[in-house]
Amino acid sequence: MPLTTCSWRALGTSVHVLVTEPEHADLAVSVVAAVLDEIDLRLSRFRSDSELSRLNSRAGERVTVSPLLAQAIDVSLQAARLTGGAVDPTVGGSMRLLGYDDDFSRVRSTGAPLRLRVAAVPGWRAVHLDSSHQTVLLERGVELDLGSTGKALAADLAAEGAHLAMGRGGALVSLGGDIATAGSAPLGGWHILAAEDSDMSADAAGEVIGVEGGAIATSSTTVRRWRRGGVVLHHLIDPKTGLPARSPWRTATVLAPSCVAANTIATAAIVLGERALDWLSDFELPVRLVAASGAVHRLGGWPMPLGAAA
Amino acid sequence: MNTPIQPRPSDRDRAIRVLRGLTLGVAIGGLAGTGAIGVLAAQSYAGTTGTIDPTAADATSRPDAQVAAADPAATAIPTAAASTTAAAGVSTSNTTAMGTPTPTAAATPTPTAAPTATSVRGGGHVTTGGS
Repeated sequence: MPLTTCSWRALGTSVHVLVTEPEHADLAVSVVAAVLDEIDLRLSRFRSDSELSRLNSRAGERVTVSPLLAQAIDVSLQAARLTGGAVDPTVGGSMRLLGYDDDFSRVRSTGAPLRLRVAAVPGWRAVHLDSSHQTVLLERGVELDLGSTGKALAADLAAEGAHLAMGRGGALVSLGGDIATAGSAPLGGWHILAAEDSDMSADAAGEVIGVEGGAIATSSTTVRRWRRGGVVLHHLIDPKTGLPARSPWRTATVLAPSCVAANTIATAAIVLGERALDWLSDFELPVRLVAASGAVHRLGGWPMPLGAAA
Repeated sequence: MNTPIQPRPSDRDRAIRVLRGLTLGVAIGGLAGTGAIGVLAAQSYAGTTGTIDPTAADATSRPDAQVAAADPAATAIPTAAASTTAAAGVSTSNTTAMGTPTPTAAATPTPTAAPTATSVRGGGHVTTGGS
């Protein structure tokens, strides 16, 4: 079945939209673009005019927020709860101190040495969300970064929106490799190349899996890296130290019912390190881990590549 | 064969109208996401210092979510339900301790079908990877 595709850049990453209904593709794509515009306006840490930036600047006050920001914070807190704090939205201050203080395309790839201090982030329990009144109180010193779960939430919402706009068929939305689907898959399923860098061409050699639905997300320490004083830094922060996570895993890919769930579990796998193996086993979700050595571990029914020895 | 297209400004207004309708859709999508998270949490972990909020864990079974999911046309009419979201509960502790999450039997699992994958030949439609 031919797919209609559209690609552009938003939220500081690549966007790919695939739909099965060509006659409704324009509207579906426009809905995705509108969702991403709204996400950027509400959740960006790098826009001074975003709702999140205004909230971060008012730590210590209870603030009324939009439904979308409340939803995004709700999701981030659930992610923190699910992972025992391994994925924590209060890493914003640590990110800024590490030099990740702008859209990544504008973060200098090298720079002077930083004086870094090991210090736990404030922690998700310092974020007080009242969902019924849509208000949030950040304790003083808390800076939210919703980048991880926020991008995954955007993919979930965009795919759902595209599908609803079409009224039938199916849609796939990829935001920098965080992929959500909605509706029916094309014949043979959605084919997804599992790589470490989402910029790799989908036609490149590698493991390709077929899925009929759900979502898939990858977290990796091999991308979004920068140097300060010769030290390589990356964007996956260990909330216990406030520093880039030191993990035996460099990449984790997870297939889950939603992109939020997939992204959360993938990021937690990196942060939890060795402990992730036991932790992941209870989810019974397909997971692909790439060790620092390059060795690939497949868990939870992640299929072996065709032609590989079982 | 895939057919590439580009976003058209002329569709923007229609998209915004759909998006307004999707204020409810946002709740649907959000519930899909948070529901999944809640379900996973209910099935496995609450974290060392946290507890499961049953309203979050059971979000996808809420009547408004079911109606909206079953009837896409309902999303065309913005309603007060648009702001309905899965309640997260309010945290009141300053505890920041983190450890390996521990199992809990505090919540009743509401199974969500876990997607499965098969290996396929040839190239992919898209790539998952870090970004």
